[in-house]
Amino acid sequence: MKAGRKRSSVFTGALLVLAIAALLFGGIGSARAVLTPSDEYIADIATKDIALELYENGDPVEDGALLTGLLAEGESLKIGQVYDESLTVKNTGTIDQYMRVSVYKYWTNDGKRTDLDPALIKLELGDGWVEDTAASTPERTVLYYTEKVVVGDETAPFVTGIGVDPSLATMVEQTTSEDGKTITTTYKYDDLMFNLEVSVDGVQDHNAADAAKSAWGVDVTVDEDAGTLSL
Amino acid sequence: MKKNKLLLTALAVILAMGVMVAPALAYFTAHTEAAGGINLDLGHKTTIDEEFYDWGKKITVSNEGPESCYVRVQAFSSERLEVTPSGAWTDGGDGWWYYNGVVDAGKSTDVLDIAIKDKAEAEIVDGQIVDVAVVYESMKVVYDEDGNPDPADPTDPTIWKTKGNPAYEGSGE
Repeated sequence: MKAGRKRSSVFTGALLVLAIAALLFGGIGSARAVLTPSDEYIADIATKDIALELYENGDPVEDGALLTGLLAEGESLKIGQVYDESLTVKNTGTIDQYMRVSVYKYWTNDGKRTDLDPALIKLELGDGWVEDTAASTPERTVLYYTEKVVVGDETAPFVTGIGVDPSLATMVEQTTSEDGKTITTTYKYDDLMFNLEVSVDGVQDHNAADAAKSAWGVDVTVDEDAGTLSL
Repeated sequence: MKKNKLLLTALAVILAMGVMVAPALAYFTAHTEAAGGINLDLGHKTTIDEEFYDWGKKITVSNEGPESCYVRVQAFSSERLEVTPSGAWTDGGDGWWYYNGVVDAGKSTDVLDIAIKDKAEAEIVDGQIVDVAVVYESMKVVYDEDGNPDPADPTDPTIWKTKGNPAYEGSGE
């Protein structure tokens, strides 16, 4: 028993000495590092960066504002006309990506009007994107780009046109003045705003299926050799 | 005591592993978003103007806007009427006179002259009131995908028998 205690004390003492020695030499080493001049070596370490940017009709979207140039100043929207509206995404990072977009369309008038039909806002969708019909609703369209977007490249347009359905013109009331001379025509959708909202996501191309599952919670099939994505 | 130490050690190992594993599961992701909207200024307000003269009146229909519209006019009377169109007015042959063009906001139609025809002096009774009633309808101009008025021909009577004409029975929602 006594021999055991003695061995333990010796072990503890040895540890203490080692710790003090480590502290001392460590301190001296640090001091040397400060005091000793040395040659300079510069290493360029490039960090990977993922980034993307939304483009509208060929120009980057500024301040997150869409549709600012759809109509000329003083021009009224023509009901039924489909206006050119090209929306694309550019890979502005340093790694290749797979992308998805969620396009929302809805009516507002002092707040969101969920009682009005978003289907009356017509969107023309582009090619090269596949719709996740399970995730889409009358208000939201979820699209996945079927090809890997390499650094510096831009996707094909996911939206090519926007307009309002002409059937909106049938939702109307007319009142005639007492003298019968004036007819006032008012529409259910008068003084409302139709809105377009876009949310864009990108994930790394390596282990893209796992990345998509982790980041987006969806199962996608990625052929990394071919650089394609499918649902 | 020994059991507690073991538990603490195990907990420390799990925590340390957790700290190390978390960065390994992180993926590179990117996100951006944008939004915008266009306000709809729909509807139109049209007024018929009648300028009277001897045995007739000159009709114009003006559109205060904000949107463009089509117009048609019909006249009724117990007397025989003579209609003299000018400009774009076209006889539809169905009792209606169609304005063959778009009446833009702030604009008016050409004049449609409606007069009682060949009223003989002998038929004129002092104090008698002769009515010439004029009714009109207006309909919003809708466009095709390319921005052209659709339907393009407002003199086609069938387009006035659709939901696009608010006065047509069965129109509305």
